[in-house]
Amino acid sequence: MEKEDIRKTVCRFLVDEIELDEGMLNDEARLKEDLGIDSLDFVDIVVICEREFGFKIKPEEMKNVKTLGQFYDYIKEKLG
Amino acid sequence: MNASGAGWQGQTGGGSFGIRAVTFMVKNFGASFVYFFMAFAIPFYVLSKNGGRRDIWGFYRRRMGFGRWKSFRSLWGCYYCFGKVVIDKFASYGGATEGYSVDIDAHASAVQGEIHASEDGAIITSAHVGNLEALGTLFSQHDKECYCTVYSGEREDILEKRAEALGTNHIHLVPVPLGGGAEYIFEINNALDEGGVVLMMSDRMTEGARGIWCSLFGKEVEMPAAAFAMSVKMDVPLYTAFVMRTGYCRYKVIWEKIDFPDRDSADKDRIVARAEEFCRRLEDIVRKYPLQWFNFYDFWRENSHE
Repeated sequence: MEKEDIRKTVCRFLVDEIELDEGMLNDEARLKEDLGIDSLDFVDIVVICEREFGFKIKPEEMKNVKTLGQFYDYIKEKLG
Repeated sequence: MNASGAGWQGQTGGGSFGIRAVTFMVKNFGASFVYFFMAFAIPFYVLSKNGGRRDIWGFYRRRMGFGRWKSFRSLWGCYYCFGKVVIDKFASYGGATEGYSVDIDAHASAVQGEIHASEDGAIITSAHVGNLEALGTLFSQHDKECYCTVYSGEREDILEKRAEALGTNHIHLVPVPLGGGAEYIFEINNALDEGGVVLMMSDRMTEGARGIWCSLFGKEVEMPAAAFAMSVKMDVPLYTAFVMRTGYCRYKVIWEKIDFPDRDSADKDRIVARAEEFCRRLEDIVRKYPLQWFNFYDFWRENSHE
């Protein structure tokens, strides 16, 4: 899957499920500080990763994921 | 416990010296010996600035509707009962479990069997009433792994002792950072996927937690949403469990599933319905065991942002 496809899927999810403003969703946006994603939103992120991308997030893998751009890269890396 | 003012800070009182001392005395002289000496310390605690006596008094007067004399007796009874539960917990941390018993009736036993027989994960939610840690003895008899969320504001020595005491019972502690953090969500998700049981408290709002407004003892309060939201979104069964003190070194497990035929409803409605059911059960339990309400701060003020 190309990064652009990953970006579209994640953005659609963030807008539809977490009700974020699409204008905020740039690669540099920090998940917690800028987008206000809290621990329960991460429950949805866990679900979307399993449903849409077919992999499970391991706790240690997300430690360095702070921004949306890093999250897209993380998904791309997991998808190989 | 924590005095009123800033809500619950995620820390339990006591320390490793206390655990060692209590364990030694329970092992060598019996629990009643320790209860006896503990009774002398209670007045100092109740009368201390941080004891939360006004909040407990308010709980019995306003929420339970007790008269002054009954509230007065209940206040002292609550602290005495809390002291006994803390001693029992410390004794179990130190391995002095001989003489303690946990009763489980046919219904709770069936629920336990259902959880242990299932290959799927499950969430058990509870509150700061009674002594939930006694539930650990039931997990020691089975292979099911149990993951207990604990606030990382807890003192490290307490966490270590808990982990040490509970680890042999297939119980693992999952620290939840105060003020947010997502790592524990991934850890819980993995535990559930592997068929583990996750135990989460649902009665104390902490900084950064998302809540659901529910009625409890006739007043709206915000309760942490995590257990209810995770059970719905991760599609795992949700159970309530309370372990109440019923006598000398004796506890009873009250264990039930929250099961609604609401799969077609919106997630948000399903989450709220589960939270409301939890509050209903919690209120029933506290009305039955009024001395075992162990939230020593103004629960309704802190959890309603007044």
